[in-house]
Amino acid sequence: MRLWVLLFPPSVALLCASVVQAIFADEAYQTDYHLPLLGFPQAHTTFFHRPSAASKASLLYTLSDRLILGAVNPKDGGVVWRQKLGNQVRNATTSSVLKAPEGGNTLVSVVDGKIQTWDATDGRLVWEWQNFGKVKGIETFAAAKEDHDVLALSEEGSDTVVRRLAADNGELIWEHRDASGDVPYSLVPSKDKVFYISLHSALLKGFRVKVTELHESTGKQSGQTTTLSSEGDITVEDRILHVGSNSGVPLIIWTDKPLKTLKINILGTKHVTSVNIPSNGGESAEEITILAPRSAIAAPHFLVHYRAANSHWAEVYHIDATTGTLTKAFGLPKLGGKGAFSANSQGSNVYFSRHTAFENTLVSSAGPTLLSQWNVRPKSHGGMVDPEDILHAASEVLPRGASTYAVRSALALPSGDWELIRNGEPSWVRPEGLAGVIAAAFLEIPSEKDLAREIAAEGMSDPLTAYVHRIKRHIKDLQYFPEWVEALPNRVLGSFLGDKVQSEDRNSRRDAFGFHKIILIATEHGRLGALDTSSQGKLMWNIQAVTLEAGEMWDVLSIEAEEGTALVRAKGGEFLRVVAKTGEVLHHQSGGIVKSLKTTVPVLDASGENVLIPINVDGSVGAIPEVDFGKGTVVVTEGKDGSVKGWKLRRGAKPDLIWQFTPALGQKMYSVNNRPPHDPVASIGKALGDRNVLYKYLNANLLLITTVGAETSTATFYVLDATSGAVVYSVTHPGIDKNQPIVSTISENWFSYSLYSESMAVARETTPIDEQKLKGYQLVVSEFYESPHPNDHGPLGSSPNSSSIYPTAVEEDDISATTPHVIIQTYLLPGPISSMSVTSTLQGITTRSLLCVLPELNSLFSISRAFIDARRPVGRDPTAPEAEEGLFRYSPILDFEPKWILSHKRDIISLSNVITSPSLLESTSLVFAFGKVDLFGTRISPIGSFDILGKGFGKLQLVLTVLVLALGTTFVAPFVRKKQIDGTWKA
Amino acid sequence: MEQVPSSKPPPPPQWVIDLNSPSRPKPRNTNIANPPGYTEAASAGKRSTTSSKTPARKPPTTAETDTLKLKKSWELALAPAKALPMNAIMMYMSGNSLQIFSIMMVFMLFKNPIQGLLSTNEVFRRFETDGTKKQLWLVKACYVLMNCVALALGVWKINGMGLLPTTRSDWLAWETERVPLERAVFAFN
Repeated sequence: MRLWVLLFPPSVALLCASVVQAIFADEAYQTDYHLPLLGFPQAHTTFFHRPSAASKASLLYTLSDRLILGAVNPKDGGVVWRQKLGNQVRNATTSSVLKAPEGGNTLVSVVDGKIQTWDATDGRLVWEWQNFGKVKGIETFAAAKEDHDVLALSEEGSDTVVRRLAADNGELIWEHRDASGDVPYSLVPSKDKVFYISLHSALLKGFRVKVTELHESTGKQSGQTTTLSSEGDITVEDRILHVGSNSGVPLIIWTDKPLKTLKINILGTKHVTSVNIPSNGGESAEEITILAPRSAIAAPHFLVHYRAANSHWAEVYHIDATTGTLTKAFGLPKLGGKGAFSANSQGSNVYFSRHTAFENTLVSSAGPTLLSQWNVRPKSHGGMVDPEDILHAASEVLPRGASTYAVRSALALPSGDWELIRNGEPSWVRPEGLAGVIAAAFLEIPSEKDLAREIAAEGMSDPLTAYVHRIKRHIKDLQYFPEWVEALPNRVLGSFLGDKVQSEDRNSRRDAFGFHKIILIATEHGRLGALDTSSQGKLMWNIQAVTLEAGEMWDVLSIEAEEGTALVRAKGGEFLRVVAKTGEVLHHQSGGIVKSLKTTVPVLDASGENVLIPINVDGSVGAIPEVDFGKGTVVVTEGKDGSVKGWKLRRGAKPDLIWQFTPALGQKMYSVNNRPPHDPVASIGKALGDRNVLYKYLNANLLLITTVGAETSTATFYVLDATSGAVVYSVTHPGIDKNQPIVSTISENWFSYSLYSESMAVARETTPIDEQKLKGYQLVVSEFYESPHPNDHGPLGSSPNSSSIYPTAVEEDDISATTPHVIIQTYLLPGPISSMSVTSTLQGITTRSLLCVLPELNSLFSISRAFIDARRPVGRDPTAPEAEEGLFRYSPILDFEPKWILSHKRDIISLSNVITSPSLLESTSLVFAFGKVDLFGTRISPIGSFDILGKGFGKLQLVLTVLVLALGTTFVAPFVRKKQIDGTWKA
Repeated sequence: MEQVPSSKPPPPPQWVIDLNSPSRPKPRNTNIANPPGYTEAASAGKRSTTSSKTPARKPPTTAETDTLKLKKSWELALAPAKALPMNAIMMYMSGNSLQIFSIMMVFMLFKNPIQGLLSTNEVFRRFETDGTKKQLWLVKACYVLMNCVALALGVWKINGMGLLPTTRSDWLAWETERVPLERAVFAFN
């Protein structure tokens, strides 16, 4: 080995490490699972649309509340393509619009001030346009047969600007600027005219609707500006219900405050038609929506959808395109519950489909007769989706022959599910309500027969009873014997041919390797869900755990596993206990009973019982129950003002504040990390190549605090001993970029962080150009050792205990003795890291890997600790002992090796957290990543799966070889025996 | 002159000669002629003359055989030392990696001296007479020393292979982490 290592020193470590890091092609899509979500679809940006004029089938497009633009295949609900349009998610000021010109092959989206056009088939960006103003409305305008120019209405300071941008490259064709100071509202192209609507503030209150007509090819004002006296009705923009144009009849519809009348105006005219809103059966409408087909050539018919508290109904109106008169055609009857309508057109025929919790009906705009009617529930999804209200729907109607119709509708349900129904038959459900996961945890599958407990019971009792108990237990086990025998052939076959079929029964049990766990997720909408790690992350259940006010976010602090149940703790002392397998809520304690309470933490007392300690919002510890905590229990809390406090618990008394960490002047608390709860250390030292030992500085109470100086652009990392509050180590980075993510993690005897910063090595003479060059994304790894010298056990020597509060005599002599020896190494990264965590295995023998989320690559990445070892030799090749240790020459640039990407080809949007859990195999760690949108899970073997047979192991081959050998031996044995006997005689 | 032949011991009887040098089994096929130049009688006669000469040599005295035996035993005692350079070269060449060949070689390196040490008395038993007994302990001591040197070579080899628990890292697994007297409970988020 030594000779070999001497011959090929640099290649060895690289070879070993890189081979095991990769994901093999046959492992991809087998061990990992991904839930590509879009977020909840918005009503005005969800529609069926043909991606190009030539294509026969249409796709379902949506721009969700998380600003994800996506195309979904209506056949199976799979995502065809996705694009993330904004970084801010669910910002109240963010308005988003999505338009798809009929017959065109692009989509146009607007988020804030950015206009982007996308190829509807593959989701590629065609062009984008951005100016400093905010775009209030866009429309497409047919310039040629397939090219649709984009008209944009934007507000730039006090000016209203209308622009026409070319379809193919976004070039400005004309611009109309209006400096009247009116608030731009919307834009309607109609035949060869373009109307734009702005709101002119009236003298006293309210707005007057001002309609300006422009010429489509020049952008010059062509007609007159009409101002409608709407100031009594429109006090806020929301009163305007609809602006649109069908068959050359441009419309604006608004309503008054008590929802008593509808006012309808055909743009360009002064006449306003008023329609009284009737109360239906004593119930008056609380919400009104207007639905009109998207197509410009459809007949000018529209539907008014009235929503009351517990019912809904609708009326259909026609407008005569030549005279401009409005007539009410018919009404649709009142039905209980909340339903949704959708408008659709085929040529000039307009269809309205109605969706309620139990049925799906279709009417033509011409008359009130039902063209089709389907009962939807309760056959929907085998009871997986309960009958519920429908928030909004998008549908597609295709006439099949003279009187039959095919209708498919995408329904958005209050649970966050997005369901497609084809002719009343449920087709698929997308759990879009799971977007926005804020907390997740791995839960063990509860074992049914608690063998450990039974054996323990046997150990406790006297031999005779234990024996009887054991006999009884075995007799009881016999009842499973027939099943076991029955399953045996399948099991044997399965182990040879690869097990594909998994029975339900097996899914609910543990597996031998500990790969089968439940992931409990909690979303910001108050939903809880459970994923099964063994069956490709299948959603087991999904419930609304808490009801929240509109706009309120659920703030989950922690999820703890407890014997088959999970305890979800939220802000304000709220907690919820659910059964892991079924999602049944056992106990729910709502928060906010004690106002100052933030949460409670379980603390083990001296007798081994969990005691709940209340933590207040200001970071203080509440009243402590009368229990003994043993010596030196310190609770660390985070105060409101960005300070970290250590409280010492005493029996019955008020806890003492023993230390407090406040960031330096001008600095702000950024993040606080502690070592993971499951962080076993296999070896307390590092064996060097010359077989000496470098002892690790191990302290379970380490705390990593990151503070950021706003004005100085510095980031400081402090490592504290959480029991005494002593700063063990600190480092400051100058010239950081605060807008880039700063992430850090701490484990075992090392911590690492990543940030955008200047180089620390400024001691040498550097020119300003050099400094700029040295700026970049850095990954810094710091390792703690007890002493710089090998075989030195630090100042504590061989003492079996360590104490931070009561230092030993040795430490009192030398204060610096308590600080560890730190070895630091910095690596330059090609991009930012937005989340960092560490793999965890059962005993901590396996080298840990750093799991990083790369937001620019939309992927999850793992770096083995071997590559970022702080002891890599700098500026020289490693010596033979170093090479034997696996160290290789330091190179400052750490490239994102494609082999290290755990998510391989998958595109994972908006991950923010990664959690890990050990499996029963020491080599393997389970990984789950979640965030604002997507969910991703896999398992990882940082140094290869050394304790399990790989897929390449030919069981069949082995058995065949053994069989052939056995056969051969039995055949040959008589011959050999004869020969031997003959030989003896001949000699 | 008559006396001279009488002083000679009488020639041994034919059966003694036959017993001392058993004649070859006669070829079964006697039809085959002997090759030219070969006479059966001549060879038989030659053998008889040589055998008749042997007793002519003077038998060595006890002192002489003792010296001879001592010499022989010294040779045996130094034999392991002679093998040392070869073993050393072999061990150096086989490298320090744990492979089947180096492991087998190291095993042999230990097996031979240990076997030698255990059978020290048996090895020198045939040289042990009343006369040599006194000097033989030195020979045995030398033999033991030489075997120990061979063993030392083996120990040097396994030390080179890193099999001897002489370094700190070999005992690392038995060292335990220090137990902190205080504990911290983290209540963040």
